[in-house]
Amino acid sequence: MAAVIEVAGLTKRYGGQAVVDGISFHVDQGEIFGILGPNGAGKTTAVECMEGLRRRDSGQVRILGLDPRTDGHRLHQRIGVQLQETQLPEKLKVREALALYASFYPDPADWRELLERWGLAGQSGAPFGKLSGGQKQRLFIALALVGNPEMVFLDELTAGLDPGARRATWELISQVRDGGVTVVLVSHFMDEVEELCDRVAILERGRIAALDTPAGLVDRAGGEYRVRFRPMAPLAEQSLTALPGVTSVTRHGTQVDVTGTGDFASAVTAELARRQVVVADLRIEGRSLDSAYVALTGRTMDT
Amino acid sequence: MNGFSRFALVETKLFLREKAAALAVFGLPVALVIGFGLIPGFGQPQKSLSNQIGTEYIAALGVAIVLATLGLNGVPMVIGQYRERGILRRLGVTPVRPLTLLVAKLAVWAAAAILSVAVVIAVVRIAFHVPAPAAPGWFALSVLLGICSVFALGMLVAAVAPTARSAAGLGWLLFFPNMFLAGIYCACRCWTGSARSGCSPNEV
Repeated sequence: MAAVIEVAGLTKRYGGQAVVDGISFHVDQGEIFGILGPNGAGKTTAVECMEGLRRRDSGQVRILGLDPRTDGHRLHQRIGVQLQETQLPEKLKVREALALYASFYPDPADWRELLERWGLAGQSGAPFGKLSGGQKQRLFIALALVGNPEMVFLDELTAGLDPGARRATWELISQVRDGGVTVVLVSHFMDEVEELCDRVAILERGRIAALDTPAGLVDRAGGEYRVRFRPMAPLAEQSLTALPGVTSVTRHGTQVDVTGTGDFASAVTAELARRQVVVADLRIEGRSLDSAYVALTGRTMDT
Repeated sequence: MNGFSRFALVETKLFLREKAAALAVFGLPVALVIGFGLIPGFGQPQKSLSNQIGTEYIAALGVAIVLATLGLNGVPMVIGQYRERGILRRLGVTPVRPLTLLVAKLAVWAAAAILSVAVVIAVVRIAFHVPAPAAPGWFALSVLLGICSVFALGMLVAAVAPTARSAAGLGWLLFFPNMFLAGIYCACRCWTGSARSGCSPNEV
């Protein structure tokens, strides 16, 4: 598949300090590509260099074959952008904003249909200043899509949305991609990236710490699964320790914790069944992108 | 419709929805000339104004205040807000240049200023029989130059002030010296020396 984005050695410095430090990656057509990292990692700066909002200091950037530094106007006709923390004039109505932005593009989408799809039909005549945080956010996503873009940059897609609205937004973004649009998603939410992205670059201090599929990142980080249960009958721990893949068995009061790698969980449940031990509160805790992130970068998201 | 006229249309709507701004631009100067015009004897030459007719002086004052309020308070505050809220940044990633919005906005405000000046002239002419400006061409030119200069100052403030709030504050800081140098507080011709040379180009 053709690469929609090609970035090589992208660097941006502020006061001699490299905020984005020589990052390279490519994004294929129809992909949802995530850029994940803690605050201050350089995610937004990197994306703004690609959008043509900031001038890179060095490196190569091609979006849809165009250099945002020299071909911004042609590029902006073909991409959609949702920026972090923007506003509109307080008294501008929702439909006016969409109609105005639609008029910027050579081949715009039907903004009335976008209004419906993003659940804003009831707010069509409402001024921007009266919208809730979630409605504003959905309006900005709709504005990013109103030009019928070939690719979109979404920076902090679900900031300010409640859990239900986040799920609905993920579903709609998947549909956007199914329509052939390439998506670059900047986020610091693990669940969002894990749910939506085909590939993820983890950015840390301006460099790419890891780049893979979410599952690939989890695998690469290694780690163990954990099975927890409360046996309703006496159980000899040794019988579990001997099972293949099991690395440890510990007891906390009435609860037993078994950790291991590979397919040890089914070995444990089979052994319990063979010994006719009924268990309560059985839980299997898988490895998540969250723990992979910590393993790969050596720190948690919030630090 | 091109980008400019679309923005101009939207900005006109936004201007009219901002009731306080519309009131300040049209209501304030009219209230000022009517209020002073109703003072008995103000239609006669005033000694304190070097024998200028009172209502004539206030009409000129009304025009000056409209221009200065729009240019030195309105422009920095609203353009400062557009900067602060990322409205111009957002336009920077569309095929339309943010400059188009700025020019459209200033054009709408300039039109409002011109309309307000026309209303003031009409009101004083009908209500208090103050003659229309004797040299309409020169008067129009001076109004246009006045608009250009205060809007330019306002844009400068909006460009250097870090936030909309500080832009509004800076605008007010410029407003009063501007009024002073325009001879609002004491007529320029009673000044002497360097103060007079700094003031006369601004006289109302």
